[in-house]
Amino acid sequence: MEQKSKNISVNIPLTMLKAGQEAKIVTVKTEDNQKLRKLAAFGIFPGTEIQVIQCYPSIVIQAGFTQIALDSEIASEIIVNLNN
Amino acid sequence: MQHNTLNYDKDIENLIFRLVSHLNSDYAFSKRSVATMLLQEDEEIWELVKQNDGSNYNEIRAMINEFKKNTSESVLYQISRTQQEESKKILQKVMTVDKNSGSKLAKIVNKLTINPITGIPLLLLVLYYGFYQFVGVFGAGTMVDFIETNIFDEMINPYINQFVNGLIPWKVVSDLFVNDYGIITLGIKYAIAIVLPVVGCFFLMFSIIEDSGYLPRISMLMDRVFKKIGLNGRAVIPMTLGFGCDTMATMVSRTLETKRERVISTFLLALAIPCSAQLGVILALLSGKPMAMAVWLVFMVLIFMLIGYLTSKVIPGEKAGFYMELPPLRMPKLSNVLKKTYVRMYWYFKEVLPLFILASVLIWVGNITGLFEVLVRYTVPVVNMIGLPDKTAEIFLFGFFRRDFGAAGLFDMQSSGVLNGRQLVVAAATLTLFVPCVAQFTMMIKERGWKTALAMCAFIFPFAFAAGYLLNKVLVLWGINLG
Amino acid sequence: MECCNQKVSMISRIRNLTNRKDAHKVEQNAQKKIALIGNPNVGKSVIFNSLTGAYVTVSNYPGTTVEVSRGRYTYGNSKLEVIDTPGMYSMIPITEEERVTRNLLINERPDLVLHIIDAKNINRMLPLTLQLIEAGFQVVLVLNIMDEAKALGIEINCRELQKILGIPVLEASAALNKGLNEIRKTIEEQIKDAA
Repeated sequence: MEQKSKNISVNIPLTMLKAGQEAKIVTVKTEDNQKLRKLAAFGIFPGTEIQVIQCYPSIVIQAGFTQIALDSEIASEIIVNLNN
Repeated sequence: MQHNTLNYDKDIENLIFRLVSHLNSDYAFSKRSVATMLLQEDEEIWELVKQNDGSNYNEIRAMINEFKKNTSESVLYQISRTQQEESKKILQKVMTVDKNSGSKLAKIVNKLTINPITGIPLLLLVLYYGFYQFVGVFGAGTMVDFIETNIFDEMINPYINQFVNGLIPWKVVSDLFVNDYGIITLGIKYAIAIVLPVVGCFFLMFSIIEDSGYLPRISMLMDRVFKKIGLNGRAVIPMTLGFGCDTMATMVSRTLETKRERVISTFLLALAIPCSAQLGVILALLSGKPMAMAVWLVFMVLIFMLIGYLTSKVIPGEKAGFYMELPPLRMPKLSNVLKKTYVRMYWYFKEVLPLFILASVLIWVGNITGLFEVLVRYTVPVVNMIGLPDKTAEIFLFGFFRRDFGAAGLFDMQSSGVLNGRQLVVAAATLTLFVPCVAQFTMMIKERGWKTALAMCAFIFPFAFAAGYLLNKVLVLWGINLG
Repeated sequence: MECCNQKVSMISRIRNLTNRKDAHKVEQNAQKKIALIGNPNVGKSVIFNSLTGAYVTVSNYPGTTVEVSRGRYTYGNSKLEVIDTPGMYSMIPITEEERVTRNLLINERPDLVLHIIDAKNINRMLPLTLQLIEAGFQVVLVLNIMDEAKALGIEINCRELQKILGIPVLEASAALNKGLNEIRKTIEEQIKDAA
């Protein structure tokens, strides 16, 4: 119990989050520079705080005042840090 | 004076400094900016530098390669991180946000539209009322009936026929303008009585849905389905627009990200998406027979999915990921909606009306030279093979000129009771699949090139009849006559 | 005749001094250009229409403003060419529209760039402003759809932002007809200084 209450910081793909969870983007794991740029233009970028709105049929996240829909392939490349 | 606020990591700044000294030409962008784009491996900028500073090209290349070898993190990444972080830093100084603002109702409505449990029934409702009831029943039914029967058949055509026939004593010449296939009585009548109300209703509805911010939500809900046919949710926009005008949709398909998606969507638009004029006529045609309508609908969806699936297996290329912004839902502004509808209809009629007139002229020429009869004679066995009477051959030839033109001809035949339910469905399905109209074909060539466009048509032509043949056989075999 | 007409423009005066062919050249050179830049969805077309009075479809989502619209903005004795570019997210293009937009910047070398952004998404649109400034363009930043941003509780200190960037920063809600006069005034002031 005591261990659990400690701050555990884990890096996981965005696909593993449930609706309602909040996390911070750590990195986007892709070799595709074009994709990186486009996602960055949407504000999906290391350091961005996001909240998952829903997971199916597409993953919808809130980043700032923007809602973005992503498919699971792209979401699995977005690595986030889940605090607590 | 403008301030450049972007300062990259020290190593990158040093490299930029050295790169700038190797760029001697005058670019539209500052040399510093050109250097950062070179670092981000922008091929077009590399090409530009090759042309303008060719003598330094290899040296520049070597400098960048050397730098990349010695850095672990991608340079592209470092550059855009600096841009983002700088922007964030500035905003911290100038922006405040009150988190408690924002309408709760808007949030709830938004959730309802994106959650599949409520979103999909909502989508079906939008499709049913927006398109089926408004475009199909009201536009293609009520309005077409009124304009065609009450205005053209009762008021305009008899008068015009009489007037022109009196004015031009030679029937051969007066046939060009009036009577069965005349420019006025056929071409313009179809354009105004059948196409105008249907296309107008469609574009009006599309503009409302577009301006409300709902379209990206449809994309999101449909992404998984579209993935099965080699596309992604992004293709919802051109595909939906295709129900309005396939020509316009083919043009809009250029916004899709990969070539593969553009080819697949162009192909499916040409094959399986009926445009609103055609759809309107088909809906009107089958509206009295719900079973026939159901068979047509199921058949078209099956073909769309099957061919899409097969095409996605055959066509090489990379799959494009789906990511899209969901803009906030907002009440569409009437003035913007009307303006958009007007602009789209204007574009449509500028493209269409000349073709309607051209089609009438060609049919007239075909008739007096006897060429048309010969073509009809050759088409008769083909239409007979799919279980249709001889007279439908003419309609399929019309379909060459315009898809909806053919469908409209079918409408006239149905009104006179020549076809039974099964034949109607087979004819409607074959005609839907059949070649794209002249305008769409021209656009396909423009957007995808000669080879691709011709290859698509070479497939579509026999396929449409083969599919019609099969559908007819199945219906006969099962003894389904559909009224 | 000529002296009676007060509104003889600079260009037509020059035309009277030179022969026709050369005059055409002068006109081409003299005409300054403004490019409207920004993501799709930020109300670029509305601002374009209000500047030029041209008839252009107002588009709300990526995909419909594929083609480039051009118009003429006239004020006093001057004429400016206004170019409404397709969408742009970043200086590095990915889609065809972005490529078209960047090629326009390269080939047309606009004298003034109006960067129009959706104020509520300023955090992801400001990087492009910074890049445009870095690239050496004379930039005016328009924070459009300010009404929606305010409804979300967003306040932006324009004067401070203006000071940091060294460029004019304007608030607007073009769809509600707000801020358009300021945009015009700023363009006229800025274009005078443009090289």
